[in-house]
Amino acid sequence: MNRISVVVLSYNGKGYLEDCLRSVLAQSHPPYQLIVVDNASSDGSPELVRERFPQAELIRNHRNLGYAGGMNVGLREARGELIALLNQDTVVQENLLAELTRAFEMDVKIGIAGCKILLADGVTIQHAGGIIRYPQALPDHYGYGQLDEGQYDQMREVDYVTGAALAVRKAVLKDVGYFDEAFFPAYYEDADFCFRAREAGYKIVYVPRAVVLHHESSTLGRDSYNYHRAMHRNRLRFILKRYNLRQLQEDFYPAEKEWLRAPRSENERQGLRRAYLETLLLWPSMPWAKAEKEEERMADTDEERLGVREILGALHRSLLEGDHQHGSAEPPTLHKGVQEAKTDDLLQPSFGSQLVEGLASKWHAQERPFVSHKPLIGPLIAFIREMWNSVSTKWFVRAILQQQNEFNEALVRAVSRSLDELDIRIGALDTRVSRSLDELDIRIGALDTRVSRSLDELDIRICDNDRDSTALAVEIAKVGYRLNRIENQLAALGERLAGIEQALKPRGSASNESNRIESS
Amino acid sequence: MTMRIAYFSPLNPMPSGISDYSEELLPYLARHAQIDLFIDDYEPSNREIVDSFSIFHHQEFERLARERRYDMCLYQMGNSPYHEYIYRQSLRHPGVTVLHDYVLHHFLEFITVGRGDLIGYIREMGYAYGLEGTGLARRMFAGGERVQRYQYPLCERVVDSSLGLIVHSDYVARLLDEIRPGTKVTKVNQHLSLRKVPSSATARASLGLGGDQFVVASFGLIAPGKRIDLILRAFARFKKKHPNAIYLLVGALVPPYQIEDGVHELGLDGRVKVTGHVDMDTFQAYMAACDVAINLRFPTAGETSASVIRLMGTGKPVIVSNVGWYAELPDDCCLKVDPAEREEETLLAYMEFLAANEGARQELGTTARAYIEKNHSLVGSAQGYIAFIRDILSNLA
Repeated sequence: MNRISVVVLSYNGKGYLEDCLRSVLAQSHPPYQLIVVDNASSDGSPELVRERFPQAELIRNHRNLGYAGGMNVGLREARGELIALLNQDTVVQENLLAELTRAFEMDVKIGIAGCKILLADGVTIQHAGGIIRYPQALPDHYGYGQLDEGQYDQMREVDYVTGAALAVRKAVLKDVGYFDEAFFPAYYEDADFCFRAREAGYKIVYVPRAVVLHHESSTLGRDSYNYHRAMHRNRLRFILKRYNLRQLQEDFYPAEKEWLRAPRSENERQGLRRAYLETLLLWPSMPWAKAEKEEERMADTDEERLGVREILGALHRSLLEGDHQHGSAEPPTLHKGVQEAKTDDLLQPSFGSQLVEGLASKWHAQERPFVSHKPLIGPLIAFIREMWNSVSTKWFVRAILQQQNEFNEALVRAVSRSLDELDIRIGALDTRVSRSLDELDIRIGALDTRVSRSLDELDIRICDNDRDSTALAVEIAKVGYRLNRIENQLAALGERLAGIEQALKPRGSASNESNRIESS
Repeated sequence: MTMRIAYFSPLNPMPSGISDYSEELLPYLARHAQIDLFIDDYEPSNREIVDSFSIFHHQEFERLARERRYDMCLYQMGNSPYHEYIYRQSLRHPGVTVLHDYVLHHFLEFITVGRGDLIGYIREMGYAYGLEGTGLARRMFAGGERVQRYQYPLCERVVDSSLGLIVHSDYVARLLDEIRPGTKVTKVNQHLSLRKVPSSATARASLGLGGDQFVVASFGLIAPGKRIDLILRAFARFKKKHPNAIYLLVGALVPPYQIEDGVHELGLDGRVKVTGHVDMDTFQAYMAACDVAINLRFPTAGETSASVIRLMGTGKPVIVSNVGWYAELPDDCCLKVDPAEREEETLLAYMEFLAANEGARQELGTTARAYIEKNHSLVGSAQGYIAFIRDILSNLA
């Protein structure tokens, strides 16, 4: 039977972690290895693991690496042939590991298996496999919100399974690598991982007999600005990793633009806008995962860069124009464009209008009738006070009331006008900031092009120089070898000459001797 | 007049196949030329070589070149870190280069990126592939895709810096002609060098292998390109019909590659053995002991396999990949597997065929040995070298 390691990712979830780990250790098919990766929690989670679960291998990251980074740390340490990944806020049924292992052993082509995930009530389905809808890559969970009545009890292949609880065959990691950590802090890294595994030939399956309860203690609130920003930014990354320019222009852009017309919360509008802008600005330098298919990814040419920039810019502008021309789906608010700098209270969309409404309903001071709750004589007391007021204080108080009302009215008008002006100024500022960002982007683009061209020119020159140097070195070498040969030949000639001289020497001496004899 | 050659090559104890190659070839080359050896920072361990040749540190070359006036520099170039000084020297003093690997990318990446010299790598890519190369390198450093080493072999600068190139296969000669048409290239077959090979029975007894075992083996470094995962899967199926079969991997694993998980997953625990690095006598004993050798390779770096030549020279039936140099071996000397669909099935069918036909094994081995003895002799290699260098010299003018 395959050995299965379990990796639990922990981040400030001490309240959930203990139940999760107890459920893992109570499995009918015990884990071969239990690893807890802590993403620098500050709530005492690591201490809890160390004290109560000594059998677990605790790894403490020095900072929050997000889902992908944290899980990758665990995946690298896992020694089992199978590795189950769990969020800290899950509680698993006792046969989970046995069922997952059985599924993997049924079919060697299975690379990743997901679970049936129920909400904490134990009867409502949260996830029975996932689907990523083309062309916008919007995610959906099968069965979400439905009562579990056996309608999703068939094991089947799916687009992806959620990272809250899944298991992966270790061989997949060798073939496609780990989670793409640029999907920080979370969202879409699981879908990306599953898509890469399928592209490498593995099956992604949903295993209904592997059941997990999920508390969903997301660190980002489900309709918060930060949630939408991260979710959509990663959606765009997922898309840009896979689509070519034609798909972006012809399929994604029209669908996305139509989708933007639908009413949505202010937080989602702002999150989306930010996601488009960040992707627009950061796209050229985004780090890419290694497992993408080279032929399907954009070749990163100028045309494609411009194409992507135009699409993201147009989507960003359409949201911006929607705010100013048609108004957003929710009433205009005080805080347009400056959300990130304000406190949570100020971020409430109704803050300005509530203030004005409150002042408007209370500014007018009026005389009130006297009342008394004394039994029997109460009406008499009220009558006497009324009489006394009408003869002694009424004329004095009425003048003060009038003055107060005039002051209140002026104050309400001033506050209301100030709020309107503030709203207009913020709107104008927002437009200016957006335009400045657009201009900045264009300038960065132009600068980028100039730097690229300069680099290219420099590269060409260096390359030409290197090639010239090589050719020169070859020519010098040829000359050198020829010179050597000539020198060798000269040396040989010299040796021969010396030999001849040597051979001639005795004959010369004899001849000299005979000359001397003759002269004598 | 005797030709003088400055010879640059790693020697033993440097753990490179080219060390063995040079030490076997040098005595035969020395019959035709006066040879000085230039090496890196180590003491050569082969006493015969030390006693027979003048050996210098490569930094002494400049001084000696002025005194001795070499007729030619000869560079043994391969795709491993032991060739760094050879590479640099060959750029400064072009000569004749023996290109043992067509793909030098791993080597050049090691001596640039491996030492933190990213610019150096970009320059190498720029030299070989222009702006496409620099763009690929820069994108890789920005976190993008790794450059495909086999698609971009990075041998171009070495080729340009050579007066002539010696290769071991027509396959590499063709590739060189494609990237640098007109380059002077000759093929000199990689030679066979065998020590005394024991009989199969003696080898098995010395290695602790049973006489009734059917021994399948792969030889040389163990790396992903040797298709070991595929061989293991085929062997797992083969073993079902042949329970007495064992599979030996004779050589060292190249980290971080490991096969332990695959062996366990396929239920082959105890039926597969990795020997690790062994000395040449033990290496040849394993060759003598095996019934069938499988040495697959894909992708190929354009290399020639000394192990396959030794196996064939030992008279063993060998199964190889139908790529590169391996594809040039005659069809009646070995069995070839296409690295395509049904690769595993083809390999299994060959294993079954050879296991069932002892006669076929013997015939294949005999033909292989005759072919190698005829075409891969040391005398022939040395003559090929000298003839090519003379040809280069006569064309210098």
